[in-house]
Amino acid sequence: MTDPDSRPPDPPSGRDDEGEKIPLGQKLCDSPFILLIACIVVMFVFYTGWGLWEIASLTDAPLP
Amino acid sequence: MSASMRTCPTTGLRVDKTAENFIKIHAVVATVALLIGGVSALLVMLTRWQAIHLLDVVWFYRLLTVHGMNMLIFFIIFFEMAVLYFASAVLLNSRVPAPKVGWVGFALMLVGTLMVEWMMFSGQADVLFTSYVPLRAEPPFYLGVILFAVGTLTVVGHYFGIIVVAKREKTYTGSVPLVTFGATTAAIIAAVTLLHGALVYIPTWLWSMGYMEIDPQFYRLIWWGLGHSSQQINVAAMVSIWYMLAAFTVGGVVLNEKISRVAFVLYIMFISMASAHHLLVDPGMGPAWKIWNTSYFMYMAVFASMIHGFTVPAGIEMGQRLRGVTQGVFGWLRRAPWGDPGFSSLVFSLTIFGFVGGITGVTFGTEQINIIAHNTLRIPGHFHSTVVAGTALAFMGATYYVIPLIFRREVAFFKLAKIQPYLFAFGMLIFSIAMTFAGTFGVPRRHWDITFAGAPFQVEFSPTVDLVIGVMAVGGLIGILGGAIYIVITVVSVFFGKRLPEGESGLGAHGRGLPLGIIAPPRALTPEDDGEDLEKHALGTTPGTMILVIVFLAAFITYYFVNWKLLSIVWKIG
Repeated sequence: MTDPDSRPPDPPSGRDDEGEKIPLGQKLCDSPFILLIACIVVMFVFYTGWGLWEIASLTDAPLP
Repeated sequence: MSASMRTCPTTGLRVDKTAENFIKIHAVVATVALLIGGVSALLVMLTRWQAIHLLDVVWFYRLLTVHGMNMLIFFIIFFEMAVLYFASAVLLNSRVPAPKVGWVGFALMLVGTLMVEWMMFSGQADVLFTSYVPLRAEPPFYLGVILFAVGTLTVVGHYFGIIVVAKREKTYTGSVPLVTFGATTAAIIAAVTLLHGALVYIPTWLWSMGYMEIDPQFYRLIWWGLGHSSQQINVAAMVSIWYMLAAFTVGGVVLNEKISRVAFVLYIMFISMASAHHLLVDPGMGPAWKIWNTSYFMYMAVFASMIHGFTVPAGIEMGQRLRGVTQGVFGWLRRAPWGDPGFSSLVFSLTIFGFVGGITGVTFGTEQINIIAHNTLRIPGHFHSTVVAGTALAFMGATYYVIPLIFRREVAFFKLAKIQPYLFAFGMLIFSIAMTFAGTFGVPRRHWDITFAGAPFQVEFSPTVDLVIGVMAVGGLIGILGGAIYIVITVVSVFFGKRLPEGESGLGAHGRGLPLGIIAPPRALTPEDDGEDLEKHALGTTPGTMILVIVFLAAFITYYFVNWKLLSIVWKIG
């Protein structure tokens, strides 16, 4: 069954046409730029940044 | 209405003609890249098939590079840019605010593509898709990739601009449609991917000219932030197309938009970290980094895929049941429009992506198991079932709707179009499974000659390998035939296909080159179709999908367990 709440209006006031407050989660999802920033931060912190730190922390191998 | 807009007689959507042109041009270039990648696929496969062993060693690696770049980058990303224009300007009834930006982006992508093609075919970039340092191509190769990435980033920025303008001009109300939300997910992942592309290719370009040094481990880390994440753009775009095709072909409903959107958000947050599984055997990265990125985070994205893998078929089942197709547990599947290439593509894409690509991907992404799969044919076996049988097939299914809706032409050779998804899916399924089996026997990937003729050592594989690779080749030939038919249909339709008269919706136009979703679209649901009358089955209101989910989970558990067993045999303790 379709979700009756699936397409609520999203005026800038933070309230829909019937005056109901838009949930915070939906407001966040309606902003592609917040999602973009979240994606960049998570990727660059946990994959890229942490990975670079691991590489930078490597000591020289004690080869003969 | 602006003179630059037309109203689609089939969907009722207002279509900006500039957006239409962008969709057309990106789709056409994508098809050319598919042709180049497909021809090279045939030649590479006929070489890996030891019974034929067609190409010499130089041309094998050259065409393997051509195959990878064209299929995994140019075909897929050009097509995805077409999807972005469709999902923004068309689905949101919006104008394209800055066409020049779009054209600049397209031009950069095209120039970059041509430079890379030239460098590869002229033998100045035999470095494979990954171009691992210290393998060195000539500088214009890297510059071409950079231009392509900048162009793509420009188009992605243009997409966000369209979204902003549509919201400001109130061309839609509420949240964007789910398909657009999925496309936004793809665009966001594309932005992160391309940032990694810039981060790795600009220094590599300077390195190729002798201006600086590059650490190979640094290269691998950052490159996979591009190389694997670019395939996650595919996943988001493909899932969006699943939802769209389900709606077009059988009136599939979205069971719960919140759940589906949360699943897309999980992709945004976590799917790019799957890049780390390419580095699971690298000595430079510690186990905490590896396990954090490939387990805890990647499993959130896997969870998202499993949500979509349930909601799409369940939405199809519910859509069918609400329209009166209620016979038995699988009546909704038996009575589905299997002659509609959009529908068959959707089902095969979803099934092969989940059952073969998904299960093998999660298994190989496990740190311990990865050691027996890494650099074997199991890896290309996995990604041919995700990128080719999954993404490419979904794109093909969408094409059969894009041709009449956007190009305003009938699909040429429509009887052939009906069987094309069957051929392609069947061939790629056999190919992927056989490739995975060959890898299980330890057959290496990217290898010109697995007999190791002339090598100073002897490597003998089980005789079964010859059989499995033969099966792989037969599957590949069938798949390539399916791909070739798609290209012929697309080219003939777009350039020579019968034009649809202005204003014709295609409704009731049986016997012509139009998919069933246009000739006889699913009945629109009304508030009375609330599902209250549906039979309450022990497995819920979508029992057929629930049974398929149980089968999927059983297959998943079995394959995962078998691989741990294989690991225990290879790596005996005590």
